[in-house]
Amino acid sequence: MKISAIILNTFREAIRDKIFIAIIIFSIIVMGGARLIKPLTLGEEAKVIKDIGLNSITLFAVLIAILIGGRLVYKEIEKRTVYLILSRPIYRWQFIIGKYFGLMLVLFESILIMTGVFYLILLLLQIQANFYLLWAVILTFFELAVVTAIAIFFSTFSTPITSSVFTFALYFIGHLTRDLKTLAAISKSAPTMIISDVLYYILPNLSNFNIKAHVVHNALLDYKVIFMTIIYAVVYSAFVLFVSCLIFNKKDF
Amino acid sequence: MSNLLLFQKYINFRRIIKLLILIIGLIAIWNIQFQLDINRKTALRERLMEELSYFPSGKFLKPIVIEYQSAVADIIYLRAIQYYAQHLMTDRKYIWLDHIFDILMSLDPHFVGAYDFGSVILAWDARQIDEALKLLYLAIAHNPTNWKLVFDAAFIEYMLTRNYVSAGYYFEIASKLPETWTITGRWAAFAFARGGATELAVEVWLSIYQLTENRKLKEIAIRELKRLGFPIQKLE
Repeated sequence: MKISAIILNTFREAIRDKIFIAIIIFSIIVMGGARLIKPLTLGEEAKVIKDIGLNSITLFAVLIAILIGGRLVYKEIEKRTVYLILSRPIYRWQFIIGKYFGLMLVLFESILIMTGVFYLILLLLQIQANFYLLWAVILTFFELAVVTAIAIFFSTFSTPITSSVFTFALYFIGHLTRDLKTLAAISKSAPTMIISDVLYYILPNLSNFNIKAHVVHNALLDYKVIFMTIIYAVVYSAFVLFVSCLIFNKKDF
Repeated sequence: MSNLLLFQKYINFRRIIKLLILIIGLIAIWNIQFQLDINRKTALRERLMEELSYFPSGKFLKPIVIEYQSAVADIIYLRAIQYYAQHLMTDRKYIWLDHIFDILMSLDPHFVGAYDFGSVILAWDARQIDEALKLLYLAIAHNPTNWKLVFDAAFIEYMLTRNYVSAGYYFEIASKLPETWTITGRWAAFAFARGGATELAVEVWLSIYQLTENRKLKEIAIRELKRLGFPIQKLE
C-alpha cells in the first residue's frame, strides 16, 4: 500500500515532467519521419522503417530512464521532500522500490505509446506488421529495468548530472562486455584473464537484450534464451536495487 | 500621454525588439550557411560522400554504435544509394563502394537486400568484380540459405568472369535453396555444358528429369540430354 502510493506519486510526477513529454513527442516525430525515407530505400523500406521504429523506441526509452532515473532520488533529497516521506511509517527500502516501479510504470506507458505509434505507421505504410517484432520491444523493456535500477543506484549517492553520466557510461559499457569475454579468452596473462572474466560477469550484459536485427530479418528466435534473458534482467535489477537500498539506508537524514 | 500608455500597453516594445533579434539572428544564420555552401568548392551531397571515407572500418564502428547497429546500417545503406546515384550521373567512379559495403557487412550481416544491390553495382557499374564476389561470399557465409546471393554470384561468374563451371556450381546450389526460382537448376546445367563440364551438365539434367512432374520440363531435359550425347534409352 505504501509502496503503491510512492509508485503512483513518482508516475504522476514524471508525467508532469516536460522531459518525458518532449521525448515522447520527439520519438513520434522521428518514427513518423521514417515515412519520408521510404522512396530512398530501393525496395528495403520495410526493413529500414522497422529498424528506425525499434531503435527509436529503445533510444528514447533509454533517455527517459537515464534522465529521469538519474535525478529521481536526489531530487527528493535536494528539495527535502524526502524528510516528509521518511518521517511517516515507511521503510527506506520501500521508498527506493516505490521510486523504481514508479519509473518503470512511466517507461511501460511510454513504450506502449511508442509501440502503438510504430504499429500505426507500419499499418499506414502497408508494411507487414507482425507480432514477432514485439519480442524486441519486450526485451527493450527488460533492458530498461536494468538501466533504471542502475540509474536509481547512482541517484542515491550522486547529483543528477553525474548519475546520468555514470548510467550512460555503464549502459555503453554494458553493450561491449562480450569483448571482455573475448579478451579473457585470447589473453595470455592470468591477471588480465581473471579481471576480464570478473568484469564480464559483474557488469550488466546489455547486449543480451538486443534482438532487434533478428526480429527485423525474421530470424529464428531461441525462446529459451529470451526467457533466461528476462530472468537475468529481474535478478540483476533486484541485486542493484538491493545495493541501492543498502546505500540509502546508511544515508544520514 | 494616456494614449501613449495605452499604445505601450498593447504594443510591448521590448517584446518586439526580442522578436526582431530572434528573426534577424535566424536570417543571419541562414544567410551565413548559404554563403558557406556557395563558397565551398564541393557540393553538400559530395561532402556527405566524403564523410564516408573518414568512416572507420565496420569493425571499429560496430562497438561505437552499440545496440543501434541496424539503424546505422540503414543510414549507411541510404548513403550508399546516394553515392551510387551521384557517381552514376557524373564520373562513374565508385572508389568508396567496397568500403561502404564492408562497413555494412560488419554492422548488419543479414541485410541481404543491400548486398544484392551492392554486388550488382560493384560488378556491373564499378567493374570491381573481385570485390563484388568477395562481398557475396561474405554475405553467403552469413546467410547460407538465401538463394538470391548465391544466384548473384553465379550470374557474375557466368556473365562477367565467364567461369561457367563455377557459375554452374552456384546455380546448382541456388536451385536447392528455399524459395528459389525453378529455372536456376536448368541454368546450372546450361552453365556446366557451356563450360565443357558435360558430365556435370548430364547429371543436373538427369536429376531435373527424375524429380520433375512437369511434362514440358521432362521434354526439355530429354532434348538437352540428347544434345549432350547421353543415350536416351537409358532413361527407360
